[in-house]
Amino acid sequence: MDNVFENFYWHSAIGMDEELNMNKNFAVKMANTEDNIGSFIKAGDSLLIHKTTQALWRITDDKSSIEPVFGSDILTEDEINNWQG
Amino acid sequence: MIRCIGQNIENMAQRDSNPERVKIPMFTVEQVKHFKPILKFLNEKDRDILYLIFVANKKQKSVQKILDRSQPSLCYDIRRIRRRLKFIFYLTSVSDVFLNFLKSGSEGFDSESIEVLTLMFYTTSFTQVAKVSNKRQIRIRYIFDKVVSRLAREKNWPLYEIFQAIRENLNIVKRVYKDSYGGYGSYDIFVPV
Repeated sequence: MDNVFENFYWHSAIGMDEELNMNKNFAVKMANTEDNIGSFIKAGDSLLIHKTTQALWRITDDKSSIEPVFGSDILTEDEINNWQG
Repeated sequence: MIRCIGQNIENMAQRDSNPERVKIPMFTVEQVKHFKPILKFLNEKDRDILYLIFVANKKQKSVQKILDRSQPSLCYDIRRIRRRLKFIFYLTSVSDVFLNFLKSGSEGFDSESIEVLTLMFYTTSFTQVAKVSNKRQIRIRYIFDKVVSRLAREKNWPLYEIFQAIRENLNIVKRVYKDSYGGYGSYDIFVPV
């Protein structure tokens, strides 16, 4: 019989992962517009730091859009809407 | 909340030095839920250890059995998690200094230097910065050293201290890509240094 705990995470008992991943709508790419860039601090020519979450994003090579540098810097719909207020 | 995290992490340090006398610091479930900015820096295995020891208050022997781990291996991981959390907490606590620099104090620095500083702040890894910026690692090291020296020359001590700390703790916040995050191809996790 397979070990039932093989894919079990003890911390899931308190919903850590749900807390990290609970927002269902993620922004993995946005248009490179003034409105969208406005919620970021520029760091050099291509890097962007989100003002409220400090997620690290960058302008794509073709300059048409912006995207997170690392997967954990994905922004949720809530985080974007909260900024736009 | 950040202060609370810091105090608990400090208590974790005291716990190691005075295991008999110091009360075991505990996180409440509510506190843990507010740790999002820090928890995302831990992988699944680390979160399990954090949960079992600092939330569920299990003794190390029990955790060894639960996770089927040897005592030295578990101790190593606990020390590593503590060290990593302390450094991440430090970076979180000084992020305003860095952001203020980007907003108003970075004139006179070229874009490449600013980008290297930013990526080093987020990754603490020359390798990772080289990978992300598609440059050679030796180039990244050169730029980083040059900028840090300049910060010292210009007596920008708050910023110098941050990047000197990063230089002394390289790879402590090492990001590694993993192919799992609800369809998003490159979710990264942090792995043991």
